[in-house]
Amino acid sequence: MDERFFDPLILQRTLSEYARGFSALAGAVWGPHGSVPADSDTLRRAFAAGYQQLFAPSGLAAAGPASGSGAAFEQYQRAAAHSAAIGSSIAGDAGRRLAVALAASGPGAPPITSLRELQALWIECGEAAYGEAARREEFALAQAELLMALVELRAVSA
Amino acid sequence: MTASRLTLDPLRAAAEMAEFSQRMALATAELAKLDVRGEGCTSRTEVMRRGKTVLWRYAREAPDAGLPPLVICYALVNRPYMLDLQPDRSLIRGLAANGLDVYLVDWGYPDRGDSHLSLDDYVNRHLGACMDHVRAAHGVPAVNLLGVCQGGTLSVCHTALHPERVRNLVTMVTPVDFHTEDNLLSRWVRKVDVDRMVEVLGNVPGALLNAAFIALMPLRLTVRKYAGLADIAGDRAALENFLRMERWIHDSPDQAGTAFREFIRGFFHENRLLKGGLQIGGHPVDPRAITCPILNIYARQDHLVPPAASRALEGLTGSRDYSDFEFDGGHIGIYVSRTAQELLPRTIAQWLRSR
Repeated sequence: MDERFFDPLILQRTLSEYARGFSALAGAVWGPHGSVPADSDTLRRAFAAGYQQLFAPSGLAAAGPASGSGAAFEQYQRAAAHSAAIGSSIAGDAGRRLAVALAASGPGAPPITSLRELQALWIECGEAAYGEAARREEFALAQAELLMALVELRAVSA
Repeated sequence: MTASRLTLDPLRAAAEMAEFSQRMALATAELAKLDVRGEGCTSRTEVMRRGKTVLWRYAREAPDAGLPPLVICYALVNRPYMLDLQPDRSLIRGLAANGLDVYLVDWGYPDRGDSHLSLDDYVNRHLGACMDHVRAAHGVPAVNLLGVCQGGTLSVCHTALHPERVRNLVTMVTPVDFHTEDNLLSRWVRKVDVDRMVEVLGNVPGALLNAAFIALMPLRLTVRKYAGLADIAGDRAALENFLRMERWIHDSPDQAGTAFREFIRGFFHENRLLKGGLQIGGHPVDPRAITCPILNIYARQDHLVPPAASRALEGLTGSRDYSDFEFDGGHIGIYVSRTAQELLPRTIAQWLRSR
């Protein structure tokens, strides 16, 4: 059992992060000047930054050490960088998908009048971009490479 | 291209944001007060133990249906109390309410001393001991076996190896073909050097498997789920439901290294159950040796065990009495949704009664 989940402080911190993520969506919409950006490219970049936090570095990469030395650590660094690059690519694709969805019109694209609706679309576009990338050979190889690099780090530290 | 759909009113959005933050803070405070640590809700008794494997017998909640007892074999990778989460979300309670004598195989939490446990131990010795105990206790040559998720795969193997012990086989969200096109988890696992992983780690941490399961749909299974807490912040019962589910999700036992390696290689890497050549404990596992009636239940929106992975059981065995049942839901909904509570125990009990 992962008892950490039942630590009230960790639970509080986890949920606070998601609450902050919600606020960040609003920040992406209005930007520093307090008005909705006129062009979707600015919006796309702002939303992609949110996706970036989620997809790169991946959870696995974050499980590794921040510093170290030796062949195993170098292998881990390469694997983490490869995984992060894929994550960045997914974030960029998700941002593009969201920009397209926001620019859509017609009966299948009703107006978005609340942050919750915007968040739902943000999630939908992010999941679609991730789902497509996660099915590629390159993604599976990168995840396995990262996992095995972490295993080798464990082996040398044992 | 412009963001023509965005018609957010700044004042309204600011109010929405403030309310969301307040409700998340309330939900966090309320969750911290709750305690959902119990394992299951239906009255039960431990009737046998082998190593860390425990066989539970549940109290029947209706007149005896006159059927052979039902042994439930759950997966190694999660805890079985998902089948008895709370009174209104319990497959076990539903089966007991249909007059069935229900037993549950609980594999426990393997520790470092269990890293040598193999599939032979789990499938033949532990599950075999449970089956023998129930057969002897009821004085019957064969009992009904219900395998859930990975436990279904183990049950198929057990039935193939010991067909005389199983009167009827029910499989639920059970992977049989591990190489279907839509099996994302399998695509990832096939790239992993499981031999080296187990050599270094010994047992495989449950938290690692849990991270892999969440990574299948990371936004839905984290951001959307947790944001939804704002909607139930003032509803204590809903928060308890949420926390019970979260507890189960995060309660992933470590996996005995030897059995994990055998399972990953034999099933995920080599797809031996489907392609042939699977051996457990040196004995060939031939699904054609299964001749008992089979009910195969799968979930239409299952992201973990895609329907095609389960449907592959049809035609693989020697049974002439094969039925399947498609549940309109996902891998978790099949245990805990309201529809599942009404539908599945009744479907299973009726199917068993008619055999």
